[in-house]
Amino acid sequence: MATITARKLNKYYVDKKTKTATAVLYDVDFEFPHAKTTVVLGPSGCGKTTLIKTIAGLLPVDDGKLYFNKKDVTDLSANERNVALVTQEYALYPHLTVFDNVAYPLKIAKVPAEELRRRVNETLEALNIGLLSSRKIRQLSGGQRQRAALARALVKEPEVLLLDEPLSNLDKETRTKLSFELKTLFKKTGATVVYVTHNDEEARFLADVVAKMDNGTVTLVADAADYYRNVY
Amino acid sequence: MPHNRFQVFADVCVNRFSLILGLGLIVLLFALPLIATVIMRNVKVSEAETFADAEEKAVLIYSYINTAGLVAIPCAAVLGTGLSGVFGVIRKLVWQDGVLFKHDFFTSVKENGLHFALYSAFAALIYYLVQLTLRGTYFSIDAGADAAVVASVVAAALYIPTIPFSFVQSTVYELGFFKKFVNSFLLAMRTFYLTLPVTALCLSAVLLLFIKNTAVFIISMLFIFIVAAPLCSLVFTLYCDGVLDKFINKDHFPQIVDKGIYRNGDDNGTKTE
Repeated sequence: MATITARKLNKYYVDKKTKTATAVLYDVDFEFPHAKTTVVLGPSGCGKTTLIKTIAGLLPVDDGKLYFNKKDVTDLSANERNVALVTQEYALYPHLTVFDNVAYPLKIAKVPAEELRRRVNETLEALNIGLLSSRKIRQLSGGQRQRAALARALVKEPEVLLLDEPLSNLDKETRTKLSFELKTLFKKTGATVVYVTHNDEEARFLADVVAKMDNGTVTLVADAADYYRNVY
Repeated sequence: MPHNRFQVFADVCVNRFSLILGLGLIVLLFALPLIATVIMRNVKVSEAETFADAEEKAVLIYSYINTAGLVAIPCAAVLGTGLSGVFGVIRKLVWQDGVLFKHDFFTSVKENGLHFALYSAFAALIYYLVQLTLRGTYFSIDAGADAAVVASVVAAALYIPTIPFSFVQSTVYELGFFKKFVNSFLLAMRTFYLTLPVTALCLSAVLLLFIKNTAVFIISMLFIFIVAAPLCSLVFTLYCDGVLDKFINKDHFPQIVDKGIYRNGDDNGTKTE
């Protein structure tokens, strides 16, 4: 688990035709506490996904610093950070089985076969998809695919778990069910979770900490109980 | 989700056929010495058939077939070693476990390779003895030739049905060679009425090799090792699992009864989304 600290993070997109730079993240400062779930709220286009990708190491920052537990990870690639990302598109390999998808990051890391098998099976059981281990991804429902995507993220035992609207493609009943399971899972893994969602109910239910974003900057980081007491 | 063993078979064929073909290629690799022996035998026999002198032709053909039969014994051991890995992977498939192909294959070879090699070599030996006694009768070499034929055929009929049980048990239990053989024999005899036809059905593809046409022979070889062999291994595993569940597992290892099969109520959460 890791405290995520950002100091004056800036990220620009440069229009190649007009040569003008637009700040997507502007002087972003925050500290997301370790082993807590921080829900990031904000209107569409305010930079939530860009922030998540920056923390993941998928987008380089143009200015500023990012720390995991005081360790400067600003210039580290995604592979070098102990981070896992789950998005709403799942990003699973459809031609592989659930087991193969979840095992993939461990295979890349050359984890020994017996340990790999143990960790994958334990993770699948934790997400209640142990029985689906040998199913191909294309045979699964949306909720099952999202569980598989979560399993693939969690099997790495990441310090930081990033979720970018992971439940937005699912129906209400499945969302509710998965939300409950996610809350339990987050507590169990002890990872530092950064969770982006538009769904108020989901945010209230999952958040230990709320971070508000607007126009590319983090305007507020507060304890969730305090935040919702003041809002409502 | 498969709810019975037939559905497991269909599920593997539909969803994991590329893995089956991969296993088949490995079987072909391990079968190369045996294939080479058979081809050499056929070539030599064809050459001998051009001899004018009938007695010399008969003696030559007899010696080529005998020699090939003896050489086939260690070749069968090599094939058996490869099959040990194949059965190991198929065990994972049938039990719906995740497959780590290279690891599971080589682990199974390491754990079961010797057993499979010995069992296969013994099968080849019995086949050789059957052939020898049949040819002995033909050439009237020995007055007891008929008795020898009967004995060898009976030995084959009793030994062959034990092969699937022996192979499948190796991937489930940790037992010594002799214990496995005894178990296999007892199980085969108890289920003889079903085991013999299942085994015969699986081995029937071999009949294609008796078609006297080079192109058909080559295609049959490829089909037998690349497609039929792994599929038969799958059939054997599923069939034997049912027998093992009935006679052994339900009392001694209940945790593996029907493993890989989803009876009603086992879906638990997987059907609700």
